[in-house]
Amino acid sequence: MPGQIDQMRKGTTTVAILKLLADSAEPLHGYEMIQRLEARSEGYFSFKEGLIYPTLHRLEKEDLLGSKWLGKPGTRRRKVYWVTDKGRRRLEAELRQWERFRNGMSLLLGQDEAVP
Amino acid sequence: MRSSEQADINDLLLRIQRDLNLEAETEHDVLEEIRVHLEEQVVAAQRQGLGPEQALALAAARFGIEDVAAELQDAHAGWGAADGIAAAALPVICALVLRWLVFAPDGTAVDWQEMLSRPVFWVFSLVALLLPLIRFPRWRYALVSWAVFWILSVVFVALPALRW
Repeated sequence: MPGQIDQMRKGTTTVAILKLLADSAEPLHGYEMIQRLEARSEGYFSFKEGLIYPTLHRLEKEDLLGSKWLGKPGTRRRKVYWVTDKGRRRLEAELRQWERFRNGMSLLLGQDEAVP
Repeated sequence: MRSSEQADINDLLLRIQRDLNLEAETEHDVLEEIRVHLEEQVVAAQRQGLGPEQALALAAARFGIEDVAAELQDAHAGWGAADGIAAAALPVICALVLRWLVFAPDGTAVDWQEMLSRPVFWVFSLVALLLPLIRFPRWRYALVSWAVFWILSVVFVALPALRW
């Protein structure tokens, strides 16, 4: 069972990152994102922190995220990310899909929380 | 952050780097990003009262040092089927086009000195380098493709009457 939950978390990392960055007023770096994801999910969303970087780099390659380095070479530099317009469109699509999935699961499990 | 802690973080980065095989610039950027993350983690753990060694061990465990290299390699170096076909086909196609340009249709070779005096020879040689440089994610692959192109072209020049 923990394995299944880990898989679910892994599968939702993309949408969680896109949503986090879309809601943020400023670009964020990886460590900051981890902190905020854990805080938002009250500690439930916790995974190997390093695995956020391959996900960020994949999203960047797909033009769903933009990035830039802050700070001058030779000093402590940080790479920060933001959501592109394409990323926002993907997020909307993912959220709609998530909503349908949640409703379907609620109906399947006999819960009365399905949103029309 | 103390220099001994910096050295310990360098060791962690080396462990990741061992399993990476990316372009130098990409690899440098990736490791720099991870370095900042680990430094932040160590400082945060120390603020919570952990000693330097414990803080570093916690940072390494939470980061997942053992798993991250493979995932990063996968994210950066993944080639699709189209890239693989292009990598194999480009040098062959370029060499055949060059052969068509510098050999008479009856298979008679143009004198090599005349060949070097033709602008099309130089233009095409440049195109055969630029195409893979633009197409491939790593410049090393482009150079290999260019080398294969030249090997085939030299074979065509050395053996003008060769029938495949």
